[in-house]
Amino acid sequence: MQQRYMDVIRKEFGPLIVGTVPMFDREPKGLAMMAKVAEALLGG
Amino acid sequence: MNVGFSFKEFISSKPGLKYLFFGGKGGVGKTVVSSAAACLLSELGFKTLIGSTNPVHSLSSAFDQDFWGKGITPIKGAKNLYALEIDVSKTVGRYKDDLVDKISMFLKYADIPIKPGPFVEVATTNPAFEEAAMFDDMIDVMLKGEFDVYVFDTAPVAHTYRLLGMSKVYEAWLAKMIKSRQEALSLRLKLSFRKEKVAKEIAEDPLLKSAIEMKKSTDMARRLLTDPERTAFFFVTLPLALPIAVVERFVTWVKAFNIPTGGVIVNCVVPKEKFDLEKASPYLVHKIEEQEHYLKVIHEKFPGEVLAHLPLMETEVRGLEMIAHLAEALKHPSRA
Ligand SMILES: Nc1ncnc2c1ncn2[C@@H]1O[C@H](COP(=O)(O)OP(=O)(O)OP(=O)(O)O)[C@@H](O)[C@H]1O
Ligand SMILES: [Mg+2]
Repeated sequence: MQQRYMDVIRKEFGPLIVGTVPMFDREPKGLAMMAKVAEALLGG
Repeated sequence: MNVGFSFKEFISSKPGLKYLFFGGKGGVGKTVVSSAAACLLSELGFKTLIGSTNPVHSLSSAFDQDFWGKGITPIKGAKNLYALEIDVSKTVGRYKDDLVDKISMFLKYADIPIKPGPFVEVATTNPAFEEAAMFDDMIDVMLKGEFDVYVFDTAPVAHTYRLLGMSKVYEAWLAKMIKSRQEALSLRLKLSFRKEKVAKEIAEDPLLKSAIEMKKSTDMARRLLTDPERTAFFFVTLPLALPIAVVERFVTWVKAFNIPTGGVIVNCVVPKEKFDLEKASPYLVHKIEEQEHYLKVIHEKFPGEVLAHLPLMETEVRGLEMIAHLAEALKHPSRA
């Protein structure tokens, strides 16, 4: 299902997508986790 | 772990329950859970309305049927179940027109030769005004009394809080307005030579009349909203820290407004018995461990008040059939 909606999002918003953030194996809380989110966002 | 009542048992324990509200952090499943609750109530034989004042057409999406701006609409495939998705912008427009009328009248009485349009525009172009309109729309529906039960899928938490807050502001403003209007009018009566004519005019004063009407209906609404036999506010959360924190805050707010609380419903619980955790990937194992931890936290924070664990479905929730499936889960107490 996620793949299907990812395709929809790519089709509808293609050039507007500036990053994707994965679902982490724990809720992002605290500075260390935020750094991870930022890294993912910046394509690291 | 304290298990307590199921949602269905809670409903059965309150035969007078008529107004159900669902709140929680954005995106936790308020629309889905309130839809499931409405579905259950309709199955139990109550003529049920599920209403939303959310400007996003969420009920239409959840049921995969179009309700937007169509008034009270029977939900296809269900019995006793109706949906209402109110277009608040219409109400806001109506209010603006009404305000222009009232202020014009006021300015005319006071002999002030200006047009009220720009004032009204400034006074009404703000979110609080829209929220007041939502609140009034909701109250209107509640007071019509065409249904046995009303379920409200509320807007996200900060919104609802301000909405509840608005009703207090509104009330104070009305009381003041009525008082000053009465004073002004009685002064006029004292100073007047043709007392009878003026007395008659006062009795028919349109501004005073409408202020009193408005106060009557907010008073009535407050009475209904604070009656624990008739009203219950439910909190939807995910087994995660941030949504739980929102519920904790929300509970104190709702209590501060004397709105009776119903209980907590945990949504998107992964049915862990479906996995062989010995063989599952560490990622999944970690996720499920996290969930179990937060489920424990929820039961500790709200002992005896957790009314259901709703499963995370294989796909997103769309259509009556899936909603009915979640309604099933509302019949069972949350697992320990
Ligand atoms: N138990 C569930 N299983 C699978 N998907 C779910 C479940 N509950 C909710 N969802 C999905 O999660 C998304 C958000 O749900 P929903 O719209 O009900 O949240 P909400 O709290 O009403 O959001 P908002 O704050 O925007 O009003 C939807 O796509 C919905 O289909
Ligand atoms: Mg919603």
